[in-house]
Amino acid sequence: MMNKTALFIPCSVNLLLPWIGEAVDRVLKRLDVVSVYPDRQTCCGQMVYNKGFFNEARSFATHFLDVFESFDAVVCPSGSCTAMVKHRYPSLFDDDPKMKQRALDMAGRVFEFSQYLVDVLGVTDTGASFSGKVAYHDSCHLSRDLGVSLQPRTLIRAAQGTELVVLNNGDQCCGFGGEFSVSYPDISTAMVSAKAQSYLDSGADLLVVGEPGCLLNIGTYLEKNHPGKQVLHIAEFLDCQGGENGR
Amino acid sequence: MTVHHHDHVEKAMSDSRQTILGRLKTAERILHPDYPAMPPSPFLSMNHKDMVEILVRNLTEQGAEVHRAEGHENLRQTIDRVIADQGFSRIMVSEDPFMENLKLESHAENHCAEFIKPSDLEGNEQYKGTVFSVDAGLTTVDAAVAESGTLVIAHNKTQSRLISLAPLVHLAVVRTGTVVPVYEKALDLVIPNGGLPSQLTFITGPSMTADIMATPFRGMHGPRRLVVFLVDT
Amino acid sequence: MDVKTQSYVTEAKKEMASPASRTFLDFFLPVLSAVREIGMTSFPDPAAAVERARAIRRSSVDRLGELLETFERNAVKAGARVFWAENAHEANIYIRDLVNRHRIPYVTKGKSMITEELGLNEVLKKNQTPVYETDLGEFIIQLLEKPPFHIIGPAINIPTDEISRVFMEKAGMDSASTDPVVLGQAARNFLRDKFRHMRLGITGVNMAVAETGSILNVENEGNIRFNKSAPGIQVSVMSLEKIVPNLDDALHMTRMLCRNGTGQKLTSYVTLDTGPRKQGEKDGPEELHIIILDNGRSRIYDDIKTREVLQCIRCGACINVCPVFRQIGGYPYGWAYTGPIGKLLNPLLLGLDRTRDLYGACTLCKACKTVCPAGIDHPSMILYLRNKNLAADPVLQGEGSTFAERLMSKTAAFAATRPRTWNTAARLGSFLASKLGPCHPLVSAWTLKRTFPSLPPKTYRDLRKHP
Repeated sequence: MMNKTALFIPCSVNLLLPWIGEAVDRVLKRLDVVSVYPDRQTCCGQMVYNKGFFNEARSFATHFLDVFESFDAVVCPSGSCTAMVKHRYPSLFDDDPKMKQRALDMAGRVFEFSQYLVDVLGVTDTGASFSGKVAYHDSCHLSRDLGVSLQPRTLIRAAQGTELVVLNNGDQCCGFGGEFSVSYPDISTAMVSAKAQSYLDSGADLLVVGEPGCLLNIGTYLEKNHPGKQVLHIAEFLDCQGGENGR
Repeated sequence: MTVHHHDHVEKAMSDSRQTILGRLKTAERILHPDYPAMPPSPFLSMNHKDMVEILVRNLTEQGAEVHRAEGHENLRQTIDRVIADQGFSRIMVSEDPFMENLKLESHAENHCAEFIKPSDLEGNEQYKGTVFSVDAGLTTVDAAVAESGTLVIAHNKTQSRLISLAPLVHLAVVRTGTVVPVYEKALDLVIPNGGLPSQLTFITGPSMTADIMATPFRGMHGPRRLVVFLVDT
Repeated sequence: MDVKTQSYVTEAKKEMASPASRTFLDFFLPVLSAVREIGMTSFPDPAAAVERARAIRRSSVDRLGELLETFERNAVKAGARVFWAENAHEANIYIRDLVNRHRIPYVTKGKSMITEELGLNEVLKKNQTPVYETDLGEFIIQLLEKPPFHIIGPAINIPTDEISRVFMEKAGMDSASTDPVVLGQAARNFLRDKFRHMRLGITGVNMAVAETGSILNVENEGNIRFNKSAPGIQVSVMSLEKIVPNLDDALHMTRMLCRNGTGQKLTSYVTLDTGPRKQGEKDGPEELHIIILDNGRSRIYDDIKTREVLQCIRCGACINVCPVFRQIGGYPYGWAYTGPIGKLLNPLLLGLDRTRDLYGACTLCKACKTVCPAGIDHPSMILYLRNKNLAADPVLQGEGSTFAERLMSKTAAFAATRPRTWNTAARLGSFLASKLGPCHPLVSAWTLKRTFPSLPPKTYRDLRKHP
């Protein structure tokens, strides 16, 4: 077991979805993991990086490394923020061998939440329980960037009373894409409505995602168009104990 | 077009060649490591009989009709029967040694089909007029590839290109001795000394398309039917 | 070919509302992706086969200059004529002059994206030389004067009654039909006469083999074979990256191309041409002209970050999986190439300033990169193009950033290293955002079909510090 685990909380969770962070805390506590929340953390810089501001993204990366590199493991409830640190940071420092090395060292120690539970802690059953059918949406950065796809399914399947059902085109993008969602609203909402339709067709009682961005996108779409259809973050789902609504 | 203009183009071309190659060759190089190894194709270790069966299966799956024959005489009869059944009256044939040897025209006692060779026809117009109007084209195949059910023809003086393309039906003779597991082996067989023909054609099933509403159908421009005579020789 | 990349957003909107396009996009693209996946399983070891294909393409592009010289030498030795065109104009003029010199009454064409890029049809039309597209899909859109919808099926979205109408008007069809087979038959009959009398045929090139000086084409219909077998003159246009070192590599890439394009192990016809027809042969072209086209590619090559795009083999796999393409189809891309590869090639060949939406409208989902058999990392290059655009890159014609964009990014980068500032600014920013009226463009874009998320009273950080 690693002895120093830090939580990296994405901006979206910090500002808009704090209960996801709290759910992470509770699940980790239930598994006897002592985690710290480094107070000096800010943001991974994905927003400016995806816009094309690479220089500015380097400031974010440098600060992140300063804050987190002393930890044995960094856990983050977002696939895209994890992928930013793991895969984008090293490429930002192609011209700076020293920084590149720091980024590469960090890359091996940063984990998405479900990945951390299954691959690092070796946990499959978190003690969660949810009675009903659950569909899982493979967020792009989790599944294709980090290769994390089995881990969340393993955790969901282990939950008491839960039946994992297939989501058609489950690994197709939900249309969030950060700024994409507001720069190309027509395309973005067409994409999220296709995702919602897959969810409705799946017959699931609940949709689980591992990415706060997808959660915001799908969640607010469902709220407006299919009120009552619920979507939860994987941490919220694993936090469920006995109820049908973990929030 | 004036000669002057033409010269101008030629000159521009040699400049362009220099410019393009100059840019490509002065650009920074990134040298990549050797190709990663691939496991050997399972087709390579297959015995010949199984290979032929896979060829037949692939051919059939792709919509070819396969008739089997043993020896020259039986092959002639089989071809004759198919031609008679279909009522083909004019057939263009390739002039490769195997086909010449088969002497179909002299054995055609039981049918009235006419076998036409390209060399019987004078000039391009007559050849084209004929190959576009015959009922079927009959060719030998130089190699048949099991991995995808592909027929390989090396075009030359005796294997004209349009015979297997312009008629609505392609009758193809495959000798079991030329059945190979993979394309690479077909090349070894067809061009043992590496000298490539002007055209090498790989035929895998009949002509097809799905360009309208994704509805597949055969015989778009080339043959609608591919009939294979597989002969043990 | 007209460049319509700037009307991306309006075209996309139009397409999303078009029932004909929707049917195709919702049904056919997932099917194409599925047959591709099934096709790949016929490799003994699909992953190893993909890795090898990627290595072949990387190495081919790396050795591009040297391989092209070898190809030229061997092609000329086999009797082909090789013409280097630095731009579309040079290629078009070469073909036009050839047509005029030989008094060619009309030309036929096999399907090729490269001649779309050249705008060759327009040039020949101006020269009063009729051009007949001979691929069924290309033939339909040529008659309808529409751009290609999809690389594999250029007219796959066109309703049959529309095809019937234009065939009766322009392709000699006698009576109306909505049966695809009857329509295909009508096209066959019309084009057969053109093949019968053709004197000059134009094709693209799927692969050029350096070691042998050969060119290779893949197809299902047989029209390319006609264009390479029936005429006196064959012109094959290749963009310069189509090169592979040798026949073994060409065969492996052909296996890969067919499986990725249509899921077939091999398309109905694959032809490998080495020089024109030889003495005594009955058919095949007397003259084989190979045009090696640059048209901006050597400049793309110069930058090692963009060079990778030249690895593309035009299989279309990235297009079929792209979630954006699955919503909007091919028209909005506004030029020769569509889908993820179009998001890269069109901007690189046309300039970043008029293609902003192509590299802009991407969620970076990586579906394209995952399937690409040529080893292209589309999302990384999209990010690179965004970066070059903001930096007003002179070579790629970047526009530069706006004052607001610079202010935002600089401020964010400043605050990112100062936690107290960051937290105050983030809290303030989200508070202000929550107070934005529904008329604000960002809010109205989000709430088009979604609710606006409400701002929780406390951040996670606050909750953690003061539970």
